[in-house]
Amino acid sequence: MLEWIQRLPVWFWIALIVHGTVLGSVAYLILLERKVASWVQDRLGPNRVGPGGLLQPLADGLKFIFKEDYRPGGVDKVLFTLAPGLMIAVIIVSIAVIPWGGTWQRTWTVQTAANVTDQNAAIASQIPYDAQVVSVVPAQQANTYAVTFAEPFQIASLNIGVLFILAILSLAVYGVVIGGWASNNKYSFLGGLRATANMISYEIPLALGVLTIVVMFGTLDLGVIVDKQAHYWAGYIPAWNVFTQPLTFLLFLVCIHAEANRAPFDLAEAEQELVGGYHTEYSSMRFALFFLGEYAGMITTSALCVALFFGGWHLPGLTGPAENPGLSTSLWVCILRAVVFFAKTIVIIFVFMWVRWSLPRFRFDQLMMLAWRGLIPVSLVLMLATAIVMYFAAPLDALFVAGQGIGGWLAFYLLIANVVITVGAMLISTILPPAPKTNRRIKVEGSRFDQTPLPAGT
Amino acid sequence: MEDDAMMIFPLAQTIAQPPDAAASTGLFYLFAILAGASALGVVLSRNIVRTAVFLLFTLAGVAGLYFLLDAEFLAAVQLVVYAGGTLVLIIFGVMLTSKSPGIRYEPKIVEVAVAIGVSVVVAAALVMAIVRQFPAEPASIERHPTIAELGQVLLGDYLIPFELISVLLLVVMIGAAYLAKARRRGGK
Repeated sequence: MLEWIQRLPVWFWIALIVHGTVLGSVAYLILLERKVASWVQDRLGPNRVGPGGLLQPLADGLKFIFKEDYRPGGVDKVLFTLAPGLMIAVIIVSIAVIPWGGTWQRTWTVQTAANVTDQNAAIASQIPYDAQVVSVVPAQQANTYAVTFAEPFQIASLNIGVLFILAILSLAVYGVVIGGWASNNKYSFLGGLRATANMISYEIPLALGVLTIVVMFGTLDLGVIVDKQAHYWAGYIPAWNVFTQPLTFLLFLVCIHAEANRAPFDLAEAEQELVGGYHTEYSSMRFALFFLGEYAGMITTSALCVALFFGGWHLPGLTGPAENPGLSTSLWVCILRAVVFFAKTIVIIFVFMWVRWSLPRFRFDQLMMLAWRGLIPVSLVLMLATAIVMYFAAPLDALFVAGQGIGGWLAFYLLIANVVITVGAMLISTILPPAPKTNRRIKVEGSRFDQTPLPAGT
Repeated sequence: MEDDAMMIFPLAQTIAQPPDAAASTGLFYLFAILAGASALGVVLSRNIVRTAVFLLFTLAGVAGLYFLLDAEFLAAVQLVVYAGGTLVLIIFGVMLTSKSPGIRYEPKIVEVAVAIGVSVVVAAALVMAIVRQFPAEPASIERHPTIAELGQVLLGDYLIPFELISVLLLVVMIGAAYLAKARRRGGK
């Protein structure tokens, strides 16, 4: 029994801990959000429940549970119930491929029975399921081996990790759109429609931004992308992509704000126009699930951002050997890496909140204009420039040829390409013809825009 | 210890364990039932939005089956293109165009007959193709990263069909934009 537990792969435990941590931290992110709002607005924020308001999330959670689960008349009962669950399920699945801590390598001493014919199978049946065996060295005693095996310190190590996250996140829109439709409420419905248009527009530059990084590293595996950022340029500059691709990072940041339906892109739940948007009719735990989905979505997209642009778990002292920086033989190093990763994620989430309480909301046509006239062309050009630089400069780069990431000069060229494109986009935007005015004033008979005289007698 | 005493396992090989096999069989039935049952739902449901939601679960179930077959790229693309792209657009279109949100779809008898005829023919062709072409035992599949090879093939051997499809999509897009514009002009 005990042996069976020992043989459970490490991803099993990570899955338990990560889901607990993510769902638990969501409650505290909501508290942080309210605190950030209060700092921005120069007031105190929640400070009554527990020391400094720290127990507020518990009180909120209890309130949600004990509230009446009200369902208005005329809703589509099945879809109304399905929508919040769909939203949260999708977000939870997408966390699976985040590379929390490189690779954990262990060595076990394994003793096999004397009379087995297939020693390999006998050894394999004594180490964790799914472990990747690195080497098997026979020890002094007969039938005893020192087995070294490695496991990725993440829930699922897919070789298409980035694509998997994009694919799963593209399903997140269904929770919003189905919830909005099933509520049988015009405001909810409009919120759902806005969310759909918003999310499908911003998925394109988001994917292009991710593709730019993929072009640089030649892999879709998030773990490999992080490992290749874990070194230094000129001795002390960490080789994070945010230094080579600052413009891509900026575009990516804007897109994940839009994907998460956060201000300034929160048109789907614009309080002044749509009451509460797609979740107007939801109350109690169903509403809480939508809330949970929004914040868990922020954690996923921020974690993706950290993995792509901020070197994931990388901090000085946490790297393994130079040829394989993700490797570690110590469990504590792996856990520390996960903590570093999570801390970086929280910093990005803080930026989310900072932006929300600083910027006003876009009008809908401005939102679409930003995506289709701004982000998509710039990110296309960025990807093209990155591909050109990689094609010509990468074969000269010793580090890249060795398959260990981006060397200093290559990084410098990429940075120059980014700067040139930024300046170019600014210059071109001054000579572009102005955008068509989509926010036309429509003449309604008798309104102040209608100059025609009203018929006599009215 | 001598050199020959050192045994090296094939690195990329993860040894299949009995629980692993049981889990994949269970997952196979889960995804297969999900895909099949929601496909029935697509056909039998009268409500257009519910039909679309059923279609979402069908596509997700098929993507799950692809994952079980180690075709991860295909699975992800299935989700991105069909579930995350096309179906969202369909739902978007249905919601924008239907006069009442609770639109019900009542097919005519002729339509039902034609649909049944087409499905029977396609199903028969598929079953015959599977029975004749495929061996009873599946060939062993080696795990290897497929994306690079796929990219080479798409932009190498199949470059012209690939580009032709892109041009087709471009034509469709221009046509849609033209139609949308013409309608707006007419509505003025």
